[in-house]
Amino acid sequence: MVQEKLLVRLSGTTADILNELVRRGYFATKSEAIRAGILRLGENFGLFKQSMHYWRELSEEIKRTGKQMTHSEIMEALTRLEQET
Amino acid sequence: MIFIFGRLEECNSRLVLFLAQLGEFEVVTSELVIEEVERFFRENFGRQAGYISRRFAEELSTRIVKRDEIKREIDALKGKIKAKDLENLAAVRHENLEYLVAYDEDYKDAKIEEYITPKEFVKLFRLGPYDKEY
Repeated sequence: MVQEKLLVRLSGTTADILNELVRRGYFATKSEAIRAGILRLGENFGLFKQSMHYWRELSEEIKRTGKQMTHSEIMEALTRLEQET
Repeated sequence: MIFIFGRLEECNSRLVLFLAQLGEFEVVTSELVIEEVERFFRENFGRQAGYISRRFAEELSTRIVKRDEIKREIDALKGKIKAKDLENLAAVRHENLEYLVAYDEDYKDAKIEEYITPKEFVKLFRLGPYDKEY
């Protein structure tokens, strides 16, 4: 995976908006808000779809946990979920 | 179920999700489905997976039907279908949707005309489906 480390200086409106996004709890950190903003730009310019990004992220997260579920385990978990809902 | 099996197994549900990502049809999702997807992945793969799965389902959906919007439809459908399926069907009726894509025999038993399995839905797009229904 490509990694970029950037130092971005913000002041005025951009800094205010960033602080407000975190203060209101939309994002846990400023870095997270900036990442989401870049994804939104990519989407606006037709570079990718947010859903595809999350699809890949979810794959990676599942892989990271190392957990694999069999078909019957998935069915059991779903049944439990439906009963509890 | 589509979101869950589609992510975890090679199956028709995955083809449904791919078609949706390609913009072949518009996805309308109930609040209940979004909550169930998040909860499933959170309980089985951790908090982060829960969050990402929720964002995936939200981003794929053109519209998310809120519970408050469908009270009338829910009341009208009570007793005609199992409680667990009520919200999804109410959302379909409220939005006047053509298909309710799911793999749940209860919809079939209740003769819900909008109900279609992932396998049958995939066929509408002239894709060769997997043998399994879901």
